[in-house]
Amino acid sequence: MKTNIYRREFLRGAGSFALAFPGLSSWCGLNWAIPDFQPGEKKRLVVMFSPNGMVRDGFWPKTEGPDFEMDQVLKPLESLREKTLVIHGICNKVRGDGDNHMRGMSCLLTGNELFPGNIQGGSHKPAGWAKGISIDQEIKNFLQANEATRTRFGTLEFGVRVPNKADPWTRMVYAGPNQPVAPITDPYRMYEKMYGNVKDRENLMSVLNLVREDIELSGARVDVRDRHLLEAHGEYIGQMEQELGNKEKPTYFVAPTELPKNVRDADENMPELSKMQIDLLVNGFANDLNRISTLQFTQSVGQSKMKWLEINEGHHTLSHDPDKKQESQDKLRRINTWYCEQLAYLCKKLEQTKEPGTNQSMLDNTLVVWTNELGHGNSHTLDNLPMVLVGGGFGFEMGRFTKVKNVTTSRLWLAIAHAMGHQIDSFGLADLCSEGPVKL
Amino acid sequence: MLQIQVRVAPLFLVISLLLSCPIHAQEKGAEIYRAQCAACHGNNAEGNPEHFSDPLRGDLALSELEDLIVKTMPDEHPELCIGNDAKLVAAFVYNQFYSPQAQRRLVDSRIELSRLTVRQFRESIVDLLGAFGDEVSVPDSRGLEANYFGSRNWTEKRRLASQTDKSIDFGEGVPHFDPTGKYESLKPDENPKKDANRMNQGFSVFWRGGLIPVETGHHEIIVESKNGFSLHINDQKNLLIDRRVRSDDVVEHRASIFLIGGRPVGLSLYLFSYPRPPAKIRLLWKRPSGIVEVIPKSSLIPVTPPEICICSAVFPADDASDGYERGISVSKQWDRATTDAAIETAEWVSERMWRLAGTRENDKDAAAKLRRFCYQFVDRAFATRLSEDERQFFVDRHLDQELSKKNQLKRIVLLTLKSPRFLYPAIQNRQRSEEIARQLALTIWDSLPDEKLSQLAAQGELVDPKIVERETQRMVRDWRSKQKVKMFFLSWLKSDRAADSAKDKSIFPDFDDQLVADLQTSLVLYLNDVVWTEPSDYRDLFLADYLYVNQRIGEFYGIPVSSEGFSKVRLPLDKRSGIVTHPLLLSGLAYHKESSPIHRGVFIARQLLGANLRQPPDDVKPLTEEFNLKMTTRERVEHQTKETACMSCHKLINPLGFSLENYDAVGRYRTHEKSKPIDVASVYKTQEGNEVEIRWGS
Repeated sequence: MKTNIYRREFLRGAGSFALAFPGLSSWCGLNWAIPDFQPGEKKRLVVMFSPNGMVRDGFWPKTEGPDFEMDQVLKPLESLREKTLVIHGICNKVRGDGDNHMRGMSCLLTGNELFPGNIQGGSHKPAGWAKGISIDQEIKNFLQANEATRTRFGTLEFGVRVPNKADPWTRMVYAGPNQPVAPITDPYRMYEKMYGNVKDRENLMSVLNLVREDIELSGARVDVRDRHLLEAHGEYIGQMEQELGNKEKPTYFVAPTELPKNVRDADENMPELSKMQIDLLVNGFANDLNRISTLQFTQSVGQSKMKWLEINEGHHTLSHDPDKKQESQDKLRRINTWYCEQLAYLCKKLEQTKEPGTNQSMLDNTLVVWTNELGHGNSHTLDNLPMVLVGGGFGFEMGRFTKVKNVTTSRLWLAIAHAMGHQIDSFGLADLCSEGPVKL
Repeated sequence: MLQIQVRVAPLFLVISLLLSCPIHAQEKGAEIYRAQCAACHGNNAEGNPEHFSDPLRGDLALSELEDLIVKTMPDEHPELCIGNDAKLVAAFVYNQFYSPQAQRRLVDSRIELSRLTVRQFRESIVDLLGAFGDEVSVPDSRGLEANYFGSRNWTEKRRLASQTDKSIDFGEGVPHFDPTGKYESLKPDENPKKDANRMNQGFSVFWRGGLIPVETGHHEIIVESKNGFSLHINDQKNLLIDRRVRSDDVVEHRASIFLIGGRPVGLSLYLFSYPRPPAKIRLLWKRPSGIVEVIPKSSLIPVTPPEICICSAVFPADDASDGYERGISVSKQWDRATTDAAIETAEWVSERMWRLAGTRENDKDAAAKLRRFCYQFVDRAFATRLSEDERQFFVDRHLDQELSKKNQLKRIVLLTLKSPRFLYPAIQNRQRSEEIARQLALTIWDSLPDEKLSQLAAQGELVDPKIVERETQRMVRDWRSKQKVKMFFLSWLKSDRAADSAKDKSIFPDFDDQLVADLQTSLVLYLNDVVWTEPSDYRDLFLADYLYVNQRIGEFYGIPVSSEGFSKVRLPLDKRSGIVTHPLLLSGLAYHKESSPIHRGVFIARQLLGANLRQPPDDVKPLTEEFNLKMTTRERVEHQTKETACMSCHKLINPLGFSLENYDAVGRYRTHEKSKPIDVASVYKTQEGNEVEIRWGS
């Protein structure tokens, strides 16, 4: 029965490829409780995405090692310096069909090419979805395969202002070849997904009581010879009540996040939407609903208008301006600083949250990766992607800036998979990780 | 044609004499029964688990019963009861217990409390919520509305054609896709640059309309196309298949959806090709019975029905031991299924609550309208107008809870659909007029009263027989009753047997799923003709001299067909007449290689003649052809059933089955079997003891 609800959520999450399985909502699904507390080390991963490349000045530190500069963009992470690792030199080397924004997005976490298709971008050949699974889903499958690390959802895909259209520019998570996974951008829908069953269970419980009352009343009205039918019926209702109600333990460790009401899905609400999603993300981890999350801000070529930063142009348009246009550079720095603030909010929230039952900070058991589909906006390069890791490290030496040369994304994903305990030899296109996991 | 020739009627007199026989004859019969029969059969012929456990009842004529007693009773000492004794005790048993008339007299008749059957439950949910939307009308025309454009999107000025397509079966290319003809000569868009880049490069088709499923259950919808497309079925908001991004040369795309037989759902399919690869597409389904086919014209309509609420919860099968489904028992499984269905419906309602209530979330009277919707919802579910107390119990107390509107609604829906007042139609107290409406809807539609009937019920109008008659006429003409009548016939005729019976591929290579699906269509078209067109004469069920045939059926059964699709073909009377000789029934009532006179005989005896046959002994396996390769099927059956014990039933079954030996395992007409001419000579003995020669055809 457990697989039922899991499958339903999976299919729902599969977004554009979701099969309609209306039949899988069932009372069994309501019985999903939080598993018993699992002592021992937990390993969690968050991949946070922001679009349109990174500014060179104001982001990249000049000094390698522990004494690296945290310039304007990285400033919000200052207090987490010891837990931060900035890497220069990670490159998306996947080629083939599709323009750089498309490949930048759909090949970023998959390390795999795009299928030929009908989506025309720029002057490249039209393309379709990625040919392989993304690293977050790969690690999720590994964790879900093991009883000790299995969680109700495995992964949750959060989005902030991701437009409601499905194409290679809007999808970075893939459950497999040709299976893009749509992020959930509406925090209320995400809440429903995470905690809806608890509410539904309460609803059903509150009703069963009344149903029994109604059956008893009705019994008096029917022929004596027919009462056995209603009596049997009443017994089944009682049994269901028992099955639903005999779980004495709380259904979650920490209370579900209270979301502010009626926040409209619009650019000007982006800061609030971002906070709501991050709060839910941390809340989900605290209740051990999942161990992996992705957090996708807008999309590749995203055109958010960040009026709260007093910027009226769309992000993507600005990213095309030449480096020497100082005004645009300044705006791009402010945009990326805002994104870094979101990262910092997420990491600090994780830091302040205790692992249930321990005094440990949740950040110590989490690795947060912030990246982008492009290295630099106006050149559309897929080389030197901004790569910021924050957290306990899982064996990576944190608290420094390091430069590597021409290392493929696949080799970094391989290193992260190993750090998470998933010892795979290859990920994505084999050619791109033949040298094994990157040594940092 | 079934020709009944009464040859002998001497027993008529005997029966009349016996029925009027003097009291002392009856007493004498009773005395013999008590002395010689009751020990094994029970004092009231109810049976005795240690000897003969079945109650004494059946379909033998009195003379046959007497004959049986003379030859076999009492057990092991048949010589003890012969002659006049046998005659007297036979008459006593026949009149007191055995005959169908006696049985009817003995049964204590009352209407048992029963719950909704699975079908009634599903139909009721659809209509309960359908009542808050647009009315569904099912036109006679078939096919889908199709709009073709020389652009990637719906662009009026680039329209190429509008037409009705009978099905979406364009594996070789869709119509109007002509890059060099009309397509190129279209006027460019006013913005030449945009046009050059985008508009001129695309081609699209929009198909719209409705889908009428044939069966109930999970259907797989299959779209075969390398082009971009998107498909909606029923759910107007979420796509069933989204393939707008073409990726890789995957041709087959599948999605599963639960559909209810006869309930039309909306369907829209948007196909585009961009920049300009050939546009090819096929729309198929895999039905719950396993049949895979291009969704046929008969299941497509050119108007779009409103969205419906379909419960896909898995219910245990209803008790059908009396030949039709009844809700006479409850089980844990059933309780869970109703809960799942209630949860599913609650979810559906809560997602659409503002539209259902005819308002919008932020309107100032939204809360009042939502409350009114809830009252109506419960009223309709229970087919009555709730009292103030009931409103409080089912609606108000939940709306006053500190909960989101969505959860309030969910609780109301859950409570209503779990309530015995909904699940057992007889439980709710109703005005007489309301009760009549409830009964009419249940009987004619397997569902709830519609808006019109509910209003008449509430006004107390249905106590007037004239109005009841008028409403009954109206309801019978509704498409829902056509579906119910169809379901009745298909289950009465056990039409699904053929779909379940695999035939030997080496002997009948062309008897495949597709042929079975076509035969089902053929049967349904024929039944429709008999029931719904003038003169609507039930005798045509047995006497009709035609068959609905399409190319595939025509080829298989050697019937010449000229037109495409199904047409009515008259056949020589000696070949087919009526339902019993329909190839679908004949193949269902047969083995995978050979015909089965026993199955056919039992079918006619039970389903058509209403005979009450006992279950056959468990350990008897039918003799196969290998038993004796020279024997015909008839000879084998006669050989195996010749014992007296077998003959008590088989003397009824065998002749009925033998009369159909002209039809082989797939219902094809034959004149010889194993080089011997087919022997169909057979005699049926009526209840009255008359002997009737059975002959199909002239």
